[in-house]
Amino acid sequence: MPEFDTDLHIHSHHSIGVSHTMTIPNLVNGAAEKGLDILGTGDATQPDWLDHLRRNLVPSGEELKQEGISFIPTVEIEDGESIHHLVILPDFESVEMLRSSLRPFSPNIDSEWGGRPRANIGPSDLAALVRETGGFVGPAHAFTPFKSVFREGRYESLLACYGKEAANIHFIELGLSADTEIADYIPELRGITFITSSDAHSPSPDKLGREFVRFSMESATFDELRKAILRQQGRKPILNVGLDPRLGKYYLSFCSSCRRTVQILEGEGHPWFDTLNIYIECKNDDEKAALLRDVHKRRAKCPIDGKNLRLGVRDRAMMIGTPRSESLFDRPPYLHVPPLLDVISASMNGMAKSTKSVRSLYDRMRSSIGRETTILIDAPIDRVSKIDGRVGAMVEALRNGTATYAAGGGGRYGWLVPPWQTGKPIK
Amino acid sequence: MFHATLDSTKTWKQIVDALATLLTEAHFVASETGLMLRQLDSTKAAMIDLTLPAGLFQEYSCKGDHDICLGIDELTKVSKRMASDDKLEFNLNESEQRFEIKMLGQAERLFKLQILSPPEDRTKKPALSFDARAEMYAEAFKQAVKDIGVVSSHVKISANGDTISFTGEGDTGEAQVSLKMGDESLLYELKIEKDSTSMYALNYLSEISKAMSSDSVVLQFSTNKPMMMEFGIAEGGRISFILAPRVERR
Repeated sequence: MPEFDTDLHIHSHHSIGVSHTMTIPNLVNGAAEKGLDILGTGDATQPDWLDHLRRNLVPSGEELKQEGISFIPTVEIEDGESIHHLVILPDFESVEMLRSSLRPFSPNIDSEWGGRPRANIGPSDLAALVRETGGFVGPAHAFTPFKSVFREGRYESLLACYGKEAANIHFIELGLSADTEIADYIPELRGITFITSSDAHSPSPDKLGREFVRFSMESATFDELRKAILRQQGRKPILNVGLDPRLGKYYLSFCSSCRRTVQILEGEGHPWFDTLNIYIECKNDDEKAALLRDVHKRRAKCPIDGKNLRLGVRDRAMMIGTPRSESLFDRPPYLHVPPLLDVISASMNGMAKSTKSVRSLYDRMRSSIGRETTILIDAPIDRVSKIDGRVGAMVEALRNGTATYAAGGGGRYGWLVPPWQTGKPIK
Repeated sequence: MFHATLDSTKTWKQIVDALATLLTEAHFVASETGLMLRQLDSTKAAMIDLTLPAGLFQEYSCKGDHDICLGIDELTKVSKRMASDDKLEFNLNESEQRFEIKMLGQAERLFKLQILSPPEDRTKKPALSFDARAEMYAEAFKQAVKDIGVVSSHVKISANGDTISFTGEGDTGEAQVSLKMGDESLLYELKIEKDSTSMYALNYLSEISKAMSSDSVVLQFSTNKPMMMEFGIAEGGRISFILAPRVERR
């Protein structure tokens, strides 16, 4: 069965904080460079963007295409509880239906900057409206500390969030600070599909497709995608690709005031700190669990300034779930691979991604080997190393799971530590 | 078997408030000599050490040692139901694993709190020695902490000569409070074996100072070492807080 690399969550230039270059022609170029086959349109309910989609996307059977890249109508909607939901729709007709259904509740669905519309209704009502259009919905970036279903002080289960519509929630979008292992701490999620997508605000190759899903299905249509998400008739997700959660900026627990992240070490001593971290010593797992419970209850103080510590994504998932991560079905592997530009930048000791040196090596690799996904996932390592040994060593470490990270948290991104800085030889 | 009575709900509330500054679970150890509690907070930055000798209670009897672990939130909620003129009776119901608190006033009210599993080990008393010891009016300490809190999230405490000083600095400025020995000083006693300076998290000190219910407090510290703050509670009871210094390693 054919395979499709799919990024379902992006935004158009009609959402706030998005590059004006987010247009269909630029997205098509970006997707081709990256090696993506299907993109969500993003912002499908915004009227100007919908016109742009209609003018630029050519119906081909049941597919919407432009120069070999297929598009499926999608939109991110913020509900009355400030939770973001990813909505996937069959066609433009269903987009119009959803626009009509949302209009009475939305202050901005027709506005120029209404790409991510707000609907002043609860999650359950929103899910019902989407279901009536023939589309389906799931929580977007489900674990981030802001605007998400599982953020602190909000919900601890899909059932509590979506009520009687919970049975119709067939996917969650993990977000950049979570992966399969983290989400599978929560028993309720163990039977549903995990979507990895970029939430890209720019078509740049370090944003578009920085997370995506590889689906095995017959064609790039909504119906096939639906079957794949529901894992019906042999269609299914076969690979999640995304950042290691440690690279995300909300991975570790942190102090809400000094923004230092919490590193838990084995020991019995007093806490200490440096510029980035607070080091807290626990003598066993019970003590560690007690510490996280207290952070969860907002009753653990930062040893540096005495303000309350807050849970990061991993610890929050463990607190609302179980201490063990497991899945109810044969979940696809999760390949922790950052965008090639990030890998090249890290291989040059953190040189900015916009510099000529980084861009020139990126272009050289692309022109020699091909699509970015090929370089990062499929091409023989020797081929990558022949162009640049350091990048080859990093890609190999990423593929075999031995890459080393400095974990992020508290709003600070994590970063990749090159293997040669951890004592591994360069080929 | 454990049974005790206490005439003063105020004392009990002060004890619970002090525990609630640092803990989410209170692990009491009842023995023939009295009720004790020694625990670190979850980050191990602070320790509370509580001693309530048998004589502090109007009636007290205990056979053997008992670990009594209770949720602080539950203890606090029950304490809020106590009327000022109630008399309190405490009993350990071992068969039902409940700690019973009876309030005897115009009505007789009984609360049974679930006993939680105690931690595997009891916290040991740390071996500490101090280079500086200051006894002062508790309100002076509270005001110093509030003053420094205007500009800073941490307090540097220094003892040298006849003075103990509290200083802080932040993005908006600096603050300093000095207490000097003298006839009408709020500093009652200052013994210094070695000049000492150490820095502590202000929020911790702020919470701990709110729990100080006696007129005086004794501070003991050494350079870059934990500080112990000790004060009395009721007749014969003691509470001490030990706070780790802010230690930055590069």
